[in-house]
Amino acid sequence: MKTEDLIVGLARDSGLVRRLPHPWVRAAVWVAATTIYLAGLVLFIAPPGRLGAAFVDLRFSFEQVAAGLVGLTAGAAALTTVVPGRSRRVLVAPIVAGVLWSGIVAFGGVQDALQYGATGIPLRTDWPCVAAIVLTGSLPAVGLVHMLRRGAPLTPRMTVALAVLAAAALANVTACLVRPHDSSLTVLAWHGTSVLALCGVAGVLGTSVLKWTWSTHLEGAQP
Amino acid sequence: MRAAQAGDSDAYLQLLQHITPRIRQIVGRRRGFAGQADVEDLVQDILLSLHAVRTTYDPSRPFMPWLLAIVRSRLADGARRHARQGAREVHVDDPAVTFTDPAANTDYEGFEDEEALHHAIRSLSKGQREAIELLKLKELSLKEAAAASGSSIGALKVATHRAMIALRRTMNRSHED
Repeated sequence: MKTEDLIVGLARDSGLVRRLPHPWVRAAVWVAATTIYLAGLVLFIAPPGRLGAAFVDLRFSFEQVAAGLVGLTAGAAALTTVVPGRSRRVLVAPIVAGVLWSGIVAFGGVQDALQYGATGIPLRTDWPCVAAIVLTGSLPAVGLVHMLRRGAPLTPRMTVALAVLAAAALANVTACLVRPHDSSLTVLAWHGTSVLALCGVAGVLGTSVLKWTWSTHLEGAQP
Repeated sequence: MRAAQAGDSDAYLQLLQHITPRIRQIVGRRRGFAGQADVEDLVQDILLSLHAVRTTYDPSRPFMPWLLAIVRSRLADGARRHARQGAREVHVDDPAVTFTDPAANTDYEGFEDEEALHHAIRSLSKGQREAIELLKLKELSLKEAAAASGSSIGALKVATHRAMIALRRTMNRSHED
């Protein structure tokens, strides 16, 4: 097909389009919807009195706020990467939030070490939380990927990895609220590693999840 | 682009016509080693991509950075595709086909007596003659020949096999004479 014919075909196919809102607005919408969904799950699953007891600890509260910030900033960064021409400086935000979250958790680990002694820290395996992060984070991740598909897959691996980071970070809050943990180091090792592993898998699958696509009636015009 | 997003197809046509030479120039500069057809394929790929994500353009921001981000992305995808294909394909020189390269055909016997061959074909039974004409002279596929003759593919194969034996026998006899 000649390029000139393609141009005419594309112009004929054009119609009124609904512009995508600003990435931060879209991220806020996604975080709000995800928070409602996860809050519902927490209220349904958490043992009675668990939530009140959890937020008594100020460090724990800051940890959950930092994890929420990771979710918001990673979601916004993912949604920004699908808008051509946008600055990549937004990628700094989830990194800062991630460092803040791991710093708070690590500080909790130091407190544990001071309380129990270096050899007395109660370290446990935490497979239920890994499963909880995967299961509760799946639906928000699918929703975010659906939103990302309305944009341009300029960097699919990074975009999908950021989307999964956002969903896993918020799901991690759910896991922390539902199940009490004896040690912050358990959270750092099991939750942190799970989230990073999920991001890695998402990065590998990124090009399969986000692809350039166009309407089927333009298929004939595809070079 | 603002007008195009509002549904003005004439403005969109003008925009695409205006930016296409620029895109072609960029692609040609970055992929100069590729042929003209490959460059044009990439240009069309970029135009389709631009069309697919035109909802992402924000009229309050400049147009060119938006366009160039798409161009860069599609060029990178094209380069990756090219590298992948290059790694999987092995280029070989056209090997001499045995039947057309006389040096490779020490046992090949060309027939000089066309009239004798036509005579031999005419002497075949109706079914065998039809099979030879359709499959060997008209070079139809078995399926096409079966459709044309109304015979089954199996019957055609048998008729051809028997016809070839009969022709070889007849031609050998005529050579000996």
